[in-house]
Amino acid sequence: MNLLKIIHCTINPQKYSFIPVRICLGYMRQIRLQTTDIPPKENSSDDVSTKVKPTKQSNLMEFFDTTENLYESKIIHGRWWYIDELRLKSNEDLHKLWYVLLKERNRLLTMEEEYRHQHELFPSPERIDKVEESMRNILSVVRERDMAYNLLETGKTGEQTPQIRETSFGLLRYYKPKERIVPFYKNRYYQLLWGKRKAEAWTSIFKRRYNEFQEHQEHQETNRIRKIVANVIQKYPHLRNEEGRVMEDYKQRYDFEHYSIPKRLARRPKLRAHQTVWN
Amino acid sequence: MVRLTPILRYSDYFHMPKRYVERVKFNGTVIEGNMNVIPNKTIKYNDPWIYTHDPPWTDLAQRRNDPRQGQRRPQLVEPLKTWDFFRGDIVEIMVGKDKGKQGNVTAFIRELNAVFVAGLNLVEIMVGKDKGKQGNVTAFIRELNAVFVAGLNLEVQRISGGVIAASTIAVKEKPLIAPYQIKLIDPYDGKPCTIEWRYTAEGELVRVSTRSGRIIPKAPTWEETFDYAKKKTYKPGPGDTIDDELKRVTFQPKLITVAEELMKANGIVETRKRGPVYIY
Repeated sequence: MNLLKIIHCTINPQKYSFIPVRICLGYMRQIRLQTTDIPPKENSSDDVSTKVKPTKQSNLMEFFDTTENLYESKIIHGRWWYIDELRLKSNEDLHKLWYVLLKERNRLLTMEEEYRHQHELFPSPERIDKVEESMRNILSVVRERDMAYNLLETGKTGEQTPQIRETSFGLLRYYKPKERIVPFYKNRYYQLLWGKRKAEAWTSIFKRRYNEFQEHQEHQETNRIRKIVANVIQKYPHLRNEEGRVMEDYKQRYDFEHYSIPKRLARRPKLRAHQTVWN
Repeated sequence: MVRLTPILRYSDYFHMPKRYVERVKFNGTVIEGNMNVIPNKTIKYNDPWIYTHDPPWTDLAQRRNDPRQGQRRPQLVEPLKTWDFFRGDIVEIMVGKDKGKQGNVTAFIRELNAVFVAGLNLVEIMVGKDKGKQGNVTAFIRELNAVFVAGLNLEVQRISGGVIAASTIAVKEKPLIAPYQIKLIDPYDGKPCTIEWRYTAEGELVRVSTRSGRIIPKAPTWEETFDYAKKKTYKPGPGDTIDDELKRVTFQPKLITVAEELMKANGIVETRKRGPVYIY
């Protein structure tokens, strides 16, 4: 059998949320489990409405919560699956768990909309975040296993490292290589974006001004935070010696995002489309 | 998780996923509404969240952080290196009316460095339609911060969940700011002390008082949250997994990718040859 070249592509959970149930592959039966202490949250859709006659295998009522705790202000549920617990499970179990979680997520989202329609408060909305967290953890476990396989077979992980590329404006951007069918010289969209990237003379002026603008923004942000930190130190004078730590803390609070590409990377040679930097 | 009654504090919710808390804090754009008379103005909203005594998903906290309220003063909170106070600890108050008294920590808000002590450092609030009238206190419910006065304010308000709040004078606990106004008590002295976090011989991080060198243990209620009192005594719902199922190892490492293994398990046979793939 041909060995498939495994390259990690980020599976967008948004895309997956609308796959109908009959397409999912390994989903033979539900994992119906019983209960005990602080367990992860899992779904067991047992209440199937008898009014709707399902055609083939589909059952639309599984989108809705047909249990009796509709008017409660809080619903008891467990925590999300941790990565360490997911690492113990086989791939088939993870596959089944993924679809169980997917169904649960769809159900919660439909219930959220329903509650909004009925002008009521949706009880325990943090369930959605817990389910999404478990799904993300599953993806990371799958990714680890594929990376391990690749490292054993070839000496490299199958993932692409992001490169820094110079665009035709002379700016540096992070670029992630992807797996495609068409070669780069035939890919029209790619050629428009990344084809002719020679930065011409006019870009130096633009770059200079753009850098000025960025530095000005950064300066404004740091000034703003510095004023606040000065107020904090006035209020708590024993922090005078720890100004750095306080600045870091407040930068985090104010979402200080300005980062700059270091100069040694800015002077890298220009790469063609098919060339990768690190392998 | 109750969203209308802001009675329980943050510390009861520390098991909430962080993504949820971040999602709830409004951070985006607001479109001003004016019945389409003038073109709508979008207000871009970038100020950080102002923490109140209520958790960020409650209505009061959201109202306090409404983007239409104009420029807000930043909250000045001292960034602490370690947080020493947990639920159930015995603590002494150093400041204010109740100076020198010891009590239990009921709740804390880490974002504000605030600690609430049971029944101490109280403040009276006038609430309700019989505001300003005097009367005799007949009863009070400490957990609800409610006081019943004889013959006054006879309306009963029901909030969803069946909570009754009928009071003219409400008694509320004021928070105390963590490292200064409150101190943990050395269990062998009974006096306030400062704390360091040190490792024991077994490798456990533990609070140790600097004066006597004795360990201050965590109270048994420290992991109490809105959902459960202890992790071990949690009574699970219908959709949760058993502990045994959780810990059961089903993974057998094989030299095969995840996708191929799933194909084998489902009997999917791929006879087509994979074509050339370009990575760029």
